Amino acid sequence: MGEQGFGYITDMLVFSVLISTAALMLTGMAPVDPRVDSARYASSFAHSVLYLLQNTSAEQFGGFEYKLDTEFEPDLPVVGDSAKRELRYKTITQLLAEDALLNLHVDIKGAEFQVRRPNERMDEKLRIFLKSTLDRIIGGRFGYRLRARTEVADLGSARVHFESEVADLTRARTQLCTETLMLSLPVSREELAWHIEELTGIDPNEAGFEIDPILEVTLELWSR
Amino acid sequence: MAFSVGEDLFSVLTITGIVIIFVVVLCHSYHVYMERRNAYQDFNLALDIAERLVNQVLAADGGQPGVIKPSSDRLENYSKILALHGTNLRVEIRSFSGELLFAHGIKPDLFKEYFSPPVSVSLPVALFWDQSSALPCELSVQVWRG
Repeated sequence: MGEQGFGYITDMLVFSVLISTAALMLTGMAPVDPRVDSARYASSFAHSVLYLLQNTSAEQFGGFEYKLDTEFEPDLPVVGDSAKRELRYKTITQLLAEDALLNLHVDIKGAEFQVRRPNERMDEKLRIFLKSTLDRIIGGRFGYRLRARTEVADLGSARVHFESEVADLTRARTQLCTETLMLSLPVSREELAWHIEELTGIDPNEAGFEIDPILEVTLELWSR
Repeated sequence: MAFSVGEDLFSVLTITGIVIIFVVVLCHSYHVYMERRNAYQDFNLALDIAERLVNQVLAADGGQPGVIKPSSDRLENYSKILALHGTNLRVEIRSFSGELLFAHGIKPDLFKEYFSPPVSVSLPVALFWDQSSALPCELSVQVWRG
């Protein structure tokens, strides 16, 4: 082979390498399926889910009910299903707010203090209900994590708060968005302070803590 | 440049063949890139339209955000505005069990060549039922140009 022919082949090979690099770059730059990877879509979707939870009643998702725990009050007369509470007409966010109020957690010196509450089962039942509701609304399009929490009331020796989480992060890859909804608990500041005092024996006002009866509901969506 | 009929000519033909293949691959990559980019832009347009429908066009009067009340008249007016920009719209509202509750606009013909293929976006919404209740459902918006 002549020297010039060899040079010509080398030029062509370099040219081919440049073309394949350009092709690879183009393929890499191209956006993937927007339904799966669009943070904007996920954000809009998460907003819509939170509004939906705020506007629709539990009845629309099969209804919500639980039984009051009457074991620690043996004198309470319970006939048949009279301990059952049916909350079909409350919206899902109203249920969350009620759960937060009825099932506040009390931590004393870093360990959770087990307070016996008649509505304890609501917490667990509501998590199951929320999971099935979110599975139905989101329908496998995204991985999700829904968190509901109140501000931590630090009363010195005791800390009072509420936190609940429902998630399905199976096959979740990257977090696309976080959207938050602020809800008012269905009590006044004074009533909440009185409720906390009942649980802990400490008056939050005397402890110098100003309580905000607000529940923060956060929904994260993850790509799959 | 002097070629000897034999090795050099064979090498030139081989390399020219390889270059042609690479150029075809490049053209294909560019085509795929443009297709995906257009799909992304169309998807964003469909999302804009879906958000506008939920927040303004179909928003229930004096209702909560996220609650819609379907109105053929309002959708017709909005579709006319979009049509002026060459965009076609079909709106469907389905229950989560898949039952069609409301539809507006013609279905795109899947076998017809449009300027841009139909793109759809779905958002969960609460459908205004009566003063005290709302029905959970899914708003599906299909958008195409041409």
